Amino acid sequence: MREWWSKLRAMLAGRRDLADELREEVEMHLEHEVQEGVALGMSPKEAHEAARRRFGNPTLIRENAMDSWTFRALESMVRDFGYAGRTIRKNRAFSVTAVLTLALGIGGTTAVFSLVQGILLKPLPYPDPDRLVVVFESIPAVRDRYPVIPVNAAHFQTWREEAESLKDLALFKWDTYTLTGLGEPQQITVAQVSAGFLPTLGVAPRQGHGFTDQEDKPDTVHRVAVVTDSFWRRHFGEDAAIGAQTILLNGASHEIVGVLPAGFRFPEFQRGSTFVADLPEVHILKPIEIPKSNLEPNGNFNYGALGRLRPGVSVAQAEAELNVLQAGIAQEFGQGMQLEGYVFPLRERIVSEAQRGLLLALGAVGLILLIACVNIANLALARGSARNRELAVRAALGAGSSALLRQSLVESLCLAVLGGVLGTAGAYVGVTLFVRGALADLPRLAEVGLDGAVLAFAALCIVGSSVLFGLAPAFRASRVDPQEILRRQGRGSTEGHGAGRLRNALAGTEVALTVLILIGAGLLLHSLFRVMNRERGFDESVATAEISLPPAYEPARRLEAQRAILGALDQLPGVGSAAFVTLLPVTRENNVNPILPKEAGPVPIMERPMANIRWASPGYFETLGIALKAGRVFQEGDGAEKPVVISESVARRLWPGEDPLGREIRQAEDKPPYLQVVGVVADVPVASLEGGSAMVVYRPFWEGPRLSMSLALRTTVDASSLAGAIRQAVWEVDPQIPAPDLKTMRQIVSDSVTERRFDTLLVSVFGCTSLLLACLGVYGVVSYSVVRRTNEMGIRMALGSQIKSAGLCSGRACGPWCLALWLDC
Amino acid sequence: MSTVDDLSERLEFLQGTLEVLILRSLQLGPNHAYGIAQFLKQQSDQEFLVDNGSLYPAMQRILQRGWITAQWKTSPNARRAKYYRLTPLGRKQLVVATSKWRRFVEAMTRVLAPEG
Repeated sequence: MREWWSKLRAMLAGRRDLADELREEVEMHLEHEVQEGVALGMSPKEAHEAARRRFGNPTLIRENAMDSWTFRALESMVRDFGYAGRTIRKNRAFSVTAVLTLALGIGGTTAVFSLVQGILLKPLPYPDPDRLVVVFESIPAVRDRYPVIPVNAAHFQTWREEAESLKDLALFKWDTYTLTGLGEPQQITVAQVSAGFLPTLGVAPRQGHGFTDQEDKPDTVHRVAVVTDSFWRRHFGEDAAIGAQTILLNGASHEIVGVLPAGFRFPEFQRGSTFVADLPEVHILKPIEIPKSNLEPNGNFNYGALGRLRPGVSVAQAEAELNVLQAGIAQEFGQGMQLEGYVFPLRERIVSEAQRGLLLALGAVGLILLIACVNIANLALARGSARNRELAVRAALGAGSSALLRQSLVESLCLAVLGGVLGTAGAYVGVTLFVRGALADLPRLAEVGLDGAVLAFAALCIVGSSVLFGLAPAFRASRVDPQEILRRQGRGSTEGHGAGRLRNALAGTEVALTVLILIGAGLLLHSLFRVMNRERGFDESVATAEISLPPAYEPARRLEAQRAILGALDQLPGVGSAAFVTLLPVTRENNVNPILPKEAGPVPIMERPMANIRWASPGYFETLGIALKAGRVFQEGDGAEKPVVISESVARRLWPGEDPLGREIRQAEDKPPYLQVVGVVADVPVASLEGGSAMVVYRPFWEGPRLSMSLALRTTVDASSLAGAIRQAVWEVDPQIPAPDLKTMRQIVSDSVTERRFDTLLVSVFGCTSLLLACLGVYGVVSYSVVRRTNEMGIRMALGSQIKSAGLCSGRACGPWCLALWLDC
Repeated sequence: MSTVDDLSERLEFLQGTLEVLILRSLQLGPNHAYGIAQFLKQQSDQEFLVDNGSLYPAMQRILQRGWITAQWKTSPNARRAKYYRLTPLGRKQLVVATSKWRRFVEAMTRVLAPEG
């Protein structure tokens, strides 16, 4: 400690005094020796020489003494870094290439890792999240199209009473409500949950309380709500008293009884379900309303189920128990029904779709980082041939091999740090933009960021890559033979053939990997292209909007309002036609019900064909451009009782090879009135372009008036220019209706392939990046071999060889390409 | 690195030995580097021939540890020289090191020439 202190003081005071003093001291010492010699009878000259001989090399002694006043390791490190800095600045082309390549590699890896960390690695933000599960039902007869289906409330009750493996079990569903009273009326997603929901998640409101069992009773409605912290702050401020605040949902006043803790996020259950659209974030929870009819054994499969496993119980055990219960339920129901159940870990359900893509992306960027390292190593080796003389001079002047090794590694580290910092900064910007813009449809995106773990990973990448690309050049630098090189006057280095082969192999592997990534990108592009080119069956230029009527509207008034809106829109200049439908194509499936030809015999309910039932206004088919294949479209007052238009697939399935017109369809209940087929229209994709078409039965919208329907508009001018007029037309019917948000069918289609497009984009970018890197790598190898053999080629040409064959000679560096081709085959 | 010719005959310093010897040489009073070297040579019956390349760095180390201080003075033969003197800390260090060396030497002797 004291030693350091003295050194530090000496360093601050300046070492010049110390050096002068030492010089004087040494001179005095020498004089003493001379005097001694003279005293012994030598001549002054003799004495002087003897003293010099005895004393040793004064300069070396002074320097050694001075050395003990320095922080040697530290100072040589500072010197190394200074030297590295100079070298980096001097070799600008190489340094810029290396830093940019590394920035790309490290930045990309860090960015993708931050996604992996936030989405896959971080535990879900609930206590003991590994025990949280989601339960689904499954019916073998429809499994090919619907592998799992939502939960039936009656079945749920059986499980809750009898399942031993589940500690808690709760029911939930989503609903869209119109929120009024807080600014403009808006459509908002509300989660209806059973009383056990929050306790199952392990979350308690930070203020107020959750729901009680009383509020779970079927056919009851309780006007209470629990809201998230951010919703509460946004609308009521931090200090508002609980119990005094209400919100209007569908016109009914709900008292806010609880506020959830800050940071609470409603689980993204809807992932991977064809039945639920990707819903926006949930900020309001209210008690679940279960109609008594849904508690019948053949009630709807309408609900989500969240469970918490008992400690020590595995998912497989829980699933086995569930299947035993399901078999019992099915037996009780009779009719040859079969029922199964599935239990998924909540985390898996949320992230499973993203998992493969993310790990793939991480692997790809890791590969790119690796390629980048190989590249820089190659370039550094190639450059090394030019640097050999410099290294040789340094070695000749006394730099030890460990000093040269250290120096070279420090240089690599400097490059890696520069690249890494640049890359991490880029990753920060990229990830922030990515999360804010929600560029990909990924779960838990809000939890993604550059946290400590990600930064640690970036640091690891920096150190790891500097070692990876720095080691080979460093070893070479430490092994220079000054005599050999200086004698050869910089004619080139003498490197063994083994190292050359290694470099060729590295470059070849690089090219092979690049080609692989490019092939993958090509395949993805091709399939995206094919999906996007699928027969749509509808016109993409059609504009759409969701129109939600005030909830107080009775069915008759709903129809009246919807007809009024259609009438007003039809009058608008620029609007060709307008129509309503319950659900547009390429969105999702709902109202999936069993159908049968009327004349069919008894078929167990679960083995009947399932069709999406949609309600539409007569102009829907014309507006959307769905081709009428046979018969006619239903019209108001057209005399037919229960007229329906069916899609071609329904006709094929129910009456193969026969004329479906005039035939009748039987629904779940086997009694009149039956649905009468008046027309057949083309198939359209139902939930997604890839999923293709499903059977659809269109019914007239006046037979089932809805509060919320999708509006379709065929316009002769750009739809966005009509937005104001459309809003005005709608508000003239009722200003309580939330302003419609226009979206073309093209946008809806585009949204439905976001994920696929993102994957394709990602892999294409990776492919192009690695192609660039591979080019650099091959350049490095070729230029190195050319530099190494310039002399040889000169001699060959002097001896009469043609330019062409000299070119061929350097063409041997094409070895990597052959290797790449071989690896890819 | 010794400057003497018959290096093989002389004893080499063990690690840390030189420091103790320097401290011991200063116990009698302040002295300069030449004097210290002379003292060690004479006291050891010419067995220790101090190499200046080791002496000077060792002096610097001891200085840094605060065991000695230095001062320019005029020597008896009217020449300026840098005189070193023990500090209280240096005295304490000498006592500690001396007893440590005694124990070391005794132990070595016992092992190398066991009695009986």
